[in-house]
Amino acid sequence: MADEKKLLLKIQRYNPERDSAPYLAPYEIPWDDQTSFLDALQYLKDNVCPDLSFRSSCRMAICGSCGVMIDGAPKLACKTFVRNYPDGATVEPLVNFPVERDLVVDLTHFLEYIEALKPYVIGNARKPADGPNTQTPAQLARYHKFSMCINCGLCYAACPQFGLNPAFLGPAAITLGHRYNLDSRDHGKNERLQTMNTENGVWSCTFVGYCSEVCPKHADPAAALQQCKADSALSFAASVLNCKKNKEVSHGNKT
Amino acid sequence: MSNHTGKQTKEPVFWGLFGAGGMFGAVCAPALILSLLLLYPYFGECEEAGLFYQFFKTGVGRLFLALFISLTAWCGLHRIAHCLHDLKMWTAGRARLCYASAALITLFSIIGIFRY
Repeated sequence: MADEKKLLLKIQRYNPERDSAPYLAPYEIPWDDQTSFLDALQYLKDNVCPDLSFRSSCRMAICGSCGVMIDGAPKLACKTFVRNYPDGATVEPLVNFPVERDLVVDLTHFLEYIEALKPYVIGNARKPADGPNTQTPAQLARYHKFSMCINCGLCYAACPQFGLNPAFLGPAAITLGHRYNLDSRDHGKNERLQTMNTENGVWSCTFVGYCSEVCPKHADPAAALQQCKADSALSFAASVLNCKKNKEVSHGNKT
Repeated sequence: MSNHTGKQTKEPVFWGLFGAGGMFGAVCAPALILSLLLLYPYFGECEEAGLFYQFFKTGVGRLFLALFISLTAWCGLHRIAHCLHDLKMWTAGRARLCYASAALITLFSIIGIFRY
């Protein structure tokens, strides 16, 4: 920030104890080619408005904490540079989530949905004494892309279906569930598909695809959701056939 | 925590028909439009029925045409049902109306194609 170029940022402010509604406040920030939006926010907090609230941690697109809307598009503040917005920009909290204060949103629903899809290895009876559970590169490649998700929530802000129906499990949670469905060490696919094949599961997705566009780690949640639909449809067909078979068996037992 | 262990949805059936119709339409529609709407009437096949036209008089040809019409109808009406949902229009009975229309088109296409 040595050459002291100035840029106008409009930042959404909201303190529920004081303000009746959120409003945009203009701030001038000094910047150079290396200034990210997170740097700009931190500058404002340190020098201009100490009460400005935003989440951040790693500053290198790993933790997924600093998701905000920049000029209406969901972005990580640490990965987006001010130099790409020479005419200034508007910074708002992620849409589709309730705002707690300034740029901080309530991610409770999102975290619950991740929990609902059990993103961990299920049904693997191996013990530490059995040694490492090895995988071939091909087995790893099946889910590797989907394991890149950092739970930043940008895809939820991008998803029009989540905006219409906040009960929709959403892109990141389903991608994480699908990542374990594809893992050769996991045996919990049927358990997860029970959750995915509900009204608010994969079928709420209409393949808009914006989630994959905004994903900062290129995890491609839209692809995961379409693959989940195919899995879910096969599981549905199998359950119908099994139901028929079970009926025949019970009918046979009666006669 | 929210309850996501609800009733299993029947959406895979409609999504399967939507996918089949979309695929069928994308692969076959250009060939059908080219053959039946352009090549047949405008480029020399008007006088007598050509090979392609004769194909639609056979059982397999009729089945192909019936599948084409009904599956693309399922595809289009499924998409319309979702568009109406996105536009928050016609919430009550939207899906039923669209799928009933697709079922009627299927019925009429089968009757129309195999009866004549």
